[in-house]
Amino acid sequence: MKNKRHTYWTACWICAVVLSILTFTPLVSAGEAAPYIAGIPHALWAGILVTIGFIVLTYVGSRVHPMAEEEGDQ
Amino acid sequence: MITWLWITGAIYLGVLVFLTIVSRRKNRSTADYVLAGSNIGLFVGLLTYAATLFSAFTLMGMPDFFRTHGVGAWIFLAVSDGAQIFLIIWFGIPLRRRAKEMGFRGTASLLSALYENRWAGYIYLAGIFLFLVPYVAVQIRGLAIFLEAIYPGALPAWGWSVGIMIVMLAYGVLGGLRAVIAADAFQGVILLVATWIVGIACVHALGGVSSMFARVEAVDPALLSVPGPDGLFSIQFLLASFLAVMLLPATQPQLTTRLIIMRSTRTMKRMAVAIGCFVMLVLLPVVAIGMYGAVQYPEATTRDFLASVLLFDRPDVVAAVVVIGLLAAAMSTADSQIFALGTELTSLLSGDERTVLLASKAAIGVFGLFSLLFSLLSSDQLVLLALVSFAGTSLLGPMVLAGVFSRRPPGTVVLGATVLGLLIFLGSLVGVVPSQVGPMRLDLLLLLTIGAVTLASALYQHRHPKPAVAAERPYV
Repeated sequence: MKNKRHTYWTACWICAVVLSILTFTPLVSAGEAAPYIAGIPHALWAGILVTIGFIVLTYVGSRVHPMAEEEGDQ
Repeated sequence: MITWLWITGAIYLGVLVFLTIVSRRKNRSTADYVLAGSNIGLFVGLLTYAATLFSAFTLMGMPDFFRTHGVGAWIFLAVSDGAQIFLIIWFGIPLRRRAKEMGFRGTASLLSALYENRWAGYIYLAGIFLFLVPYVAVQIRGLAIFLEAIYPGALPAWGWSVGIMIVMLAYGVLGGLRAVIAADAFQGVILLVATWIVGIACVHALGGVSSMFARVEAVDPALLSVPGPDGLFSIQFLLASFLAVMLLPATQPQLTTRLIIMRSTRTMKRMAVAIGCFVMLVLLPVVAIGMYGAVQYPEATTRDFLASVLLFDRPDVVAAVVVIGLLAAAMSTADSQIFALGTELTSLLSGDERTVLLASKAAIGVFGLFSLLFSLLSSDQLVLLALVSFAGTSLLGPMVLAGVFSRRPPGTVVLGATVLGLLIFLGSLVGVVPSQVGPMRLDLLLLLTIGAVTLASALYQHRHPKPAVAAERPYV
């Protein structure tokens, strides 16, 4: 179980690093306003997606982090 | 509008007084006073962290960033905040374990213990003093000048500054961290409500989301892409900001403390996810406020734009709530920073409980007065220090991370690299050292270099363990 947690956590932070790198590529930091989604320009909707991605990764990371809960935790 | 301001202001102050009295009654020891009993639940933890993170810059600086530099401002702050909440999990869990093993009175004393070198604590303290006090001072000064301009004749700027500081010191010194946290939670709600009221009004005025961006495009299409009309959001600028903001839980004591005083690690993890949602909730309406400014006030000065969008274009009662929101945003960050500075200093002192408690209160008062004095006598150098506050404290990041994550006390080379980095950075601020090295920003280069030196030192120590290590710390 602990090994699995290590694997999941490693996958999680690798995803976070990849997401961070993507932020600084034209995929997110776009030099063009198009393509729009629901009227929202590319850099903004891509940035919102990256932020949501970090929230999801944080949630998953908080579930799979290998370090045991401290004593007294509920 | 003045009448509404007095009414909402009186309610606001009344709630702060009530929270201070309740908090003061609950304080039974120095640990209660300094660490709020280390028993903060999810909801209050979320609001105090968020209110501390989002300063007056959220309601004043960010809308202007969106207005003048475009949608790249989202990447500048919201994406960086997203990375920060992931760091809370990655760094916060081992941090709590270290704090439990070594005892926690403040980050400075924890670092001294982790490095087995008291200079680690002193360097950390010097770093945060250097960059946090100007930040507090400039924030109070900016807000005071703004309030003086929009309420001419009510109070001079120095009067607003003194008033803000007296209120902050009153509940901070009297009620301790518990009062600061309760006030933050209350102020976090006000900040959220104020941004949404103004944000919805702005979207409505521009005919909906799609129409809003179409109208912005008609004004200046460069506002809808990166790096923006003036080229501010270059990849280097965004990367340097990303690293500085991401590292905040490790480099700013008021945030580090909030990770440790959560009721349990599980509560801290949930808080991290909740902060991510709060970031989205606060910053989405700020986009609309900025876009509204780009359409309606493209040529206005920052002050005229803010006065119009936040106050003059709103009904009086809403404008009064927004002013309280501005005060709340500034005070909830500044109070935590002043309190943290005071308690970090006294965490390095030894003595009986009563002496340490008195010293904490005195230190908080002294740092508050320092900040007030600086805000009244604000100079260009001080403003410069405040502007680079996050970049400055980020240079402490590798040192803090190495202390928390290393198996054994990190080498003194890490401390040396941090001091050297801080000195070079200060040199660049006063013009002795160039702020650009070839094509690279100096702040980014320094952070990456200190990080590389720290990593190399950790690897060297790992491969060349000292023969007589009595009790190696468990790996985290």
